[in-house]
Amino acid sequence: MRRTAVRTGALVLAVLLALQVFPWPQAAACLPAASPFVTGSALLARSVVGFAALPALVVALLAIWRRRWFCRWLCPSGFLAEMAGRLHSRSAHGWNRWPAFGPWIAGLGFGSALIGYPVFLWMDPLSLFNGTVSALRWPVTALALPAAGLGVLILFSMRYPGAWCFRFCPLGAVQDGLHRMRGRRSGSSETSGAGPDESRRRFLLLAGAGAIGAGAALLWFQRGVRRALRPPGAVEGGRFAALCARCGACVRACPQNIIQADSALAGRPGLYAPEVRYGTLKTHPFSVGGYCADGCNRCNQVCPTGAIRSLSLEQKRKAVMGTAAVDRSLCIAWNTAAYCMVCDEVCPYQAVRSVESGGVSCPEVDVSLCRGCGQCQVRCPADPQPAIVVHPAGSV
Amino acid sequence: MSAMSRRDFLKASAVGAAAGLWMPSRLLAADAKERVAVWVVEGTDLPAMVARGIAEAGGWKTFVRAGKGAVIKPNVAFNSGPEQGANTHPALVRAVIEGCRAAGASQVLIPENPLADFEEICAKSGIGEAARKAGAELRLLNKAGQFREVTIPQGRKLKRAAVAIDVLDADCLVNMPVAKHHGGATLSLGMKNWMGSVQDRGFWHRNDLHQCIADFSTFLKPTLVLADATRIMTTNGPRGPGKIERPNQIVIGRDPVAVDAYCATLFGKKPFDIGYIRIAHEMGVGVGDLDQVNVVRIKV
Repeated sequence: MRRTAVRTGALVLAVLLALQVFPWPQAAACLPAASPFVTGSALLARSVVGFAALPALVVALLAIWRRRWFCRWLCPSGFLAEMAGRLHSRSAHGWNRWPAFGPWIAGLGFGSALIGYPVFLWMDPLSLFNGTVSALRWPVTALALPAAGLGVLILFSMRYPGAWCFRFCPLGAVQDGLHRMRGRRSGSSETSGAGPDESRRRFLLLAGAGAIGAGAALLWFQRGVRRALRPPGAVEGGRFAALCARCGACVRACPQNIIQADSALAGRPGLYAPEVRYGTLKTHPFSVGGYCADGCNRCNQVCPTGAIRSLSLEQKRKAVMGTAAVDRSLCIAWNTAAYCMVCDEVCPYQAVRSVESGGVSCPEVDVSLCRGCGQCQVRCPADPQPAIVVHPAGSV
Repeated sequence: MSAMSRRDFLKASAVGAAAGLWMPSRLLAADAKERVAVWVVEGTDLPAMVARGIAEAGGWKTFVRAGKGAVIKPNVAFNSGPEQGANTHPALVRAVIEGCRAAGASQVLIPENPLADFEEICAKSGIGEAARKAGAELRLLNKAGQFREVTIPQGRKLKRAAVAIDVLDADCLVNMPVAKHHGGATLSLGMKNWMGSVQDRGFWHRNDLHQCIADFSTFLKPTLVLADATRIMTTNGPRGPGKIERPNQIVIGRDPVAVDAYCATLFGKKPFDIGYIRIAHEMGVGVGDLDQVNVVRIKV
């Protein structure tokens, strides 16, 4: 069938985009950014949009033209959901009587985005798909959340085929809303009895939902999340956890494999937002990887929402991820008067000062110069753990 | 004089010693303890300096055997340009590669376990281009399989090490350090340069760096040392940037301690001020007392 062929092609393209096979770095952001829900939220939250968001405009126009054409012909998650739904011998359409949660999710999402903390980006089907596929690498370091989310979506669709798409999906709801902008013409028979009063009441309810969403987001996120090392150019802690769509693009893009999911559950968790974890001399005995390389700004190029700001290489070099600090009880120079200063040797920013103590040169970090790139931490020969460690910005 | 490898040198010494015992003569007795020599070539034309210095020291055919490979170990650990003085000058590296090839080396290898991204280092230092133009292979050492564990019988702190197989099996091994200040070890000269040929540098730092540097040199004897003292970083080493001085010299020798000792004086230091030079002299690795070294000065 023609539709199946097109949907398969779209699925393959989505997989390729998520696997980041295309040489153009911004292509990695295209799949999640193609969702008007994601891009719209990002625009509301940060008023910034990159070229990768142009597909979202196309999808939005498609929705205005044909209400669910994207869902039926292109959406990879929807394709998987539909395939899963067909596995059922008897179709369970009891969900027809369920209320539509999708518009509420979208409303809450946009409302919270308005104040800078979009709360439901992780539920976007394109983001879920991207995150699941991009997590497929060894070692599996990335976001279990989108894989679980997509899994739940598929299992749910086996039991209630179509329920996700038409009752929960925020992207679907956005398409419905966009289509309604066409006005009360012949297309109105598709909607269920939407007269002018009805639609105004619905709009007010959704606006109210948006306000509640904004308030909730403000309460939760503005108090900040657990301090963790974030990719260079990341917006500050609480906003980062909200603005990140958990799409996994940065995790996969990082050539050093140092971006991983923040799976900590203590201390107001960042809820699987990406964090940076540097290697040590034990995990990286040779000069390959383990730190934030001076000549790389891949993560800055692939973030669809701008949670990791789009920075040029020069800008990224100035971005402060954290600050290194020397533990004098572990440092072999301070503690045992050994000849070392390897941290000073490898620092690209001359941020390690030399202090004479015990007859040898000992390191001290110049916090005004340190960017937190982690080279010192990876190269420190102190055993069993490095004596110089990068701490998240603001926590030293 | 036919080309001589390090292994042949030992054999020749044994034969020579036997001959000396068998045929005692005044001539043999007088030359039995020839003074260690260091050739210091001063000038600004780097390839000409290398050519002249090597010629005075015996010629390339003394060091390179036709049909066998040569391994060159420059300083190529830092992502910085030639004028910063953190790496060996690429023009010198190129001249040495060309000299080895002209003497009939079958291949010239430059293995390195560096401190940053190797491709960036090779590009920025100019050594990548030098190797490409002169026909040498730059080899990044980043797998355990490229190293072999050896014991160091005379080592006091460093008793074993995983050393680059390329370096261990080299027929002709040329150490080409750049002389520079070093925040951790005071100066980085020739003997310290071998830290780029071993797998676990951390051990050396944790277990008396100066002793380990000297210990390693009891084991690894290069065929030749050619030190780059054309422009020397005198502060903020080993990476810099720091204050640059210009002795405009290259220092050639077979005795690594003597070469290091001479280079130390360029920084205003006495050789025995540097821990590993003093220890290596005491352990008999070579001669660190410049009064016992014949310093041959050549101007180009």
